[in-house]
Amino acid sequence: MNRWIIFLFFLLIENGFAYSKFVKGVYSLPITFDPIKMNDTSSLLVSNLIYEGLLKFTGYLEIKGAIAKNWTTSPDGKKLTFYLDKNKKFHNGKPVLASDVVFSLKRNLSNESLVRKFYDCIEGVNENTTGNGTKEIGIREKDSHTVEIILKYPFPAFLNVLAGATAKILPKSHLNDVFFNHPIGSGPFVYAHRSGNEITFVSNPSHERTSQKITHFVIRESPENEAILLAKKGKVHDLANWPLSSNNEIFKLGKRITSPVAATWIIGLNTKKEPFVKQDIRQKFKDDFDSEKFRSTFYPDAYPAFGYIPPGLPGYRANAKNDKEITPSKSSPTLIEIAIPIELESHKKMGTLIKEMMAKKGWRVKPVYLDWKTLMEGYTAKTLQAFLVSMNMDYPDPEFLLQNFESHNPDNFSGLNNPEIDHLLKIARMEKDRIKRKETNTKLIELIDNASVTINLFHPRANYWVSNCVKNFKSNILSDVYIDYSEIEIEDCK
Amino acid sequence: MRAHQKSFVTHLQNSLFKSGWTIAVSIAIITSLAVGIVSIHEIISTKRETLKGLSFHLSTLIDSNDRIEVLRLLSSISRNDNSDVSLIVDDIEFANSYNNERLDQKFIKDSHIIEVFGSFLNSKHLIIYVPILKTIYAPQSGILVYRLPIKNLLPKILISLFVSFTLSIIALYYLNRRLKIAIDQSLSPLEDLQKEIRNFQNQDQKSSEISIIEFEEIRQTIIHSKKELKLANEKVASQKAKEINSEIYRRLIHDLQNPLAALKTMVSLISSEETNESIKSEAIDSIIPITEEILNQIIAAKKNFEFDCKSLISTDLRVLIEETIKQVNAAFPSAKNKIVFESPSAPVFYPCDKSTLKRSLINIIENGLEVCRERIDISLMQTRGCTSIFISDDGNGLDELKFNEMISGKGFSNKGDRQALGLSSANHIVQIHGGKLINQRSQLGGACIEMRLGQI
Repeated sequence: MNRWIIFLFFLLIENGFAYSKFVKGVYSLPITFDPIKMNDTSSLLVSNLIYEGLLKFTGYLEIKGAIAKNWTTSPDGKKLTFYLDKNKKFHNGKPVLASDVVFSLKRNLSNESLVRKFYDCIEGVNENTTGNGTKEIGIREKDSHTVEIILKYPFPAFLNVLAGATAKILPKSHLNDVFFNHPIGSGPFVYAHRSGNEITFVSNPSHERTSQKITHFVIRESPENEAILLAKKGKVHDLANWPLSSNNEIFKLGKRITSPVAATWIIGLNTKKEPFVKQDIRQKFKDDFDSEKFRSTFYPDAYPAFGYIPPGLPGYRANAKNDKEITPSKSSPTLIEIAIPIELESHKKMGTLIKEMMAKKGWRVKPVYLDWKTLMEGYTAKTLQAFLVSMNMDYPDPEFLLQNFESHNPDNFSGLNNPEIDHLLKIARMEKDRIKRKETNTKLIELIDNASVTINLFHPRANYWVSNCVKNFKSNILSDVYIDYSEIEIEDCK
Repeated sequence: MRAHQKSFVTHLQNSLFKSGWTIAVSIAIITSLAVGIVSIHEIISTKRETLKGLSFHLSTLIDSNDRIEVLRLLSSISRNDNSDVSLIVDDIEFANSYNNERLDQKFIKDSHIIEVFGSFLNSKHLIIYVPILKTIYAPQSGILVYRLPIKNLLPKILISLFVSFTLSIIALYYLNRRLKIAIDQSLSPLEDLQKEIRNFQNQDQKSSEISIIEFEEIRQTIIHSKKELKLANEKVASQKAKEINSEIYRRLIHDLQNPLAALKTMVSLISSEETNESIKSEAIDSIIPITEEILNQIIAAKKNFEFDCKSLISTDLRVLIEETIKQVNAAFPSAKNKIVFESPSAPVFYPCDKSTLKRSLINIIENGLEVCRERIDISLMQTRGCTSIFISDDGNGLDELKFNEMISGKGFSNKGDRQALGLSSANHIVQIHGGKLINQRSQLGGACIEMRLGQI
């Protein structure tokens, strides 16, 4: 029945009945629709549009039920029982069952999953492999609408993981090789079609959050300057995907919605690539890099980053270290290629600044301008020497960022292999006492800092541009990925 | 009762409740305002204490820079009562429950209009500032700014104002009613006194003790006064009786003077040798009539002595006349429907001896009945300062000479060969009451006898 409702809805909408179209500009279309492979902003954005997880974040980062109507935790914190909402249905009208949940969560543990590190707290999941141990995986179907997850140890942040953009539930029965050509979820928007540099989604009429405020949601890929031009013409309503400065002229036309973002822009250094194999070279390179100049030149609104953890999170460093040691090493003669995304408006200026700045310190730096997809491929494959990226958070816990440095994490972009860091990460994950956990994280941050695998450039302050036609746009500290687009309205601005 | 007069109860109630509902409403308003103020104080105190309780936990979250947890906490506080909550650290908005845009921005203090119990009020919010302290001795880690929308606060305050105002009005109304009833009940001894005073003239009415000392003293005074009055009346009556008796003797002497002089003349004529036989014979013939007249006068005077005023009591003459008519109708069935009394609407009081005056009236009516054809009209008037009872018949009338004979006891009854003493007695009674009988011509064609009782 739901299929027919959606079909009729499509028909009505395509024929102009109650039609309202919202266009969000993005610097890159999603690389993948598979939640377990998502590592970029656009993919995660789409994930939150078409899929749902057991849980979700509110605007103030509280955890609420999504597919799960309710959940309980055992006294020892190891067993989580989720009771599914029996009214939940996929876009094809099929009900969301416990079997779909178990299947989807187990997918997160597969070899190809980039997020499996977040689930290695589950019973039966081997740290070194992907759930191929002898013990049964602790994700079980209790009945058609009840799922149990058994943990090896109580992990306070695990609910955050399940509310994140990658812990999405897919229809087990429909998953095949071509599923992600036309993905199905239970989220507020339904994948409609892709055309050139646009992907169109339509509002899901049977979703309880959707009030038909936007009938068509379009993401449109374009460079920053083109997106701004389109915004001026009223053809794009949302430029939140770009880190605009508050003095950008586009803000004279629409609304500026500003908010801190839990992110850190970094230049990541690959410890598997020369000359960054040695820690002292990395340290020297980091010390010679003038982050403050970079920040003040390109992102004067942003906060200086004295550490890897963004503001508002335990471990954030508000000031530079006073007891910084002067590194005795010299600069390396090896040519260093720094990958910079071409989607950034000032990518060339950035490259020039970096090159000149480091040249003065005796470094040979070559900026390499890559499209986002290519850059992410290199990032994932760990083929890049250095790269400019923004480290956003999938869930609001320092653990998410610190796990990047776990030696077996596929998302360990730096290739860092430090047993002490691995050990502390494990302890921090298991620690129930928040204060003690913070103390452990502080030690971790110190070690990671000393490893010099990141040059922390700045913590962005978002300046989201939206059109004056847009109502109910509410920012989210995590990033624009988590903005609730099902609540947005668009008025006729003609 | 005259128009400007009112009862003592009404006067007392009006004096006590002079301002009517004004005072009651004013008291109710003051009470409800007091309740409203107390409600506001309680709301503010409760909110402040609750937020203070979170202070220590928030300080640890500030220490660990855990904005996420703070956001969740503030969000749940805010959701409970639709308030806006901000946590300010080093003058920067570290977290809030309503707008991410304000995060990490310099704190802009809300303007306010007045301070209320340590909190602040502007046109939109009630604002409470709570310091965040790690311990009671530690310096402030931050400030929690709690803003409760006035529109959320207002219904609670208005309800408490309304309820307290309504209850006050009901309570005051109830008290008012109870007080009025108490006044009514407390004044019942006054009614007893009132009754006592009303019964002042009635000698036989018994009275009972009044429970209020002052009123009982007045009652005793009235009783004493009653007795004194009774004695005084008796003295007066006795004095009057003496005066009347003297008057009777004086009249008798006056009346007897002429017949006795005539008798003396007749005897002189009879005993004189110079008187011729015819004159002697006439003289001898007139001795018996003269002697009879003298005897009648003495008998009439004797009869008049029988009528004695015992005491004079203020009597409504309308009632006296009506009772007299009933008595006559009962004694003389033929009189029924003949006697018509035109009674005035207002009472006509006159101090009299009821039984004797009634006797006098009966005599006159009886005379009227003897001579009337169909009708006797009785009317009662107060004219020229005098109270008069008119008894008119439709008979043949009564000439003045005969009238005078009859009222002086010299007349003879139509009913038989005897003296007509009715009018004479009636005249005597009227005279001892300070009045007199007057003969007039009746409009009905017969006689009209006016019983003029003198000025009030």
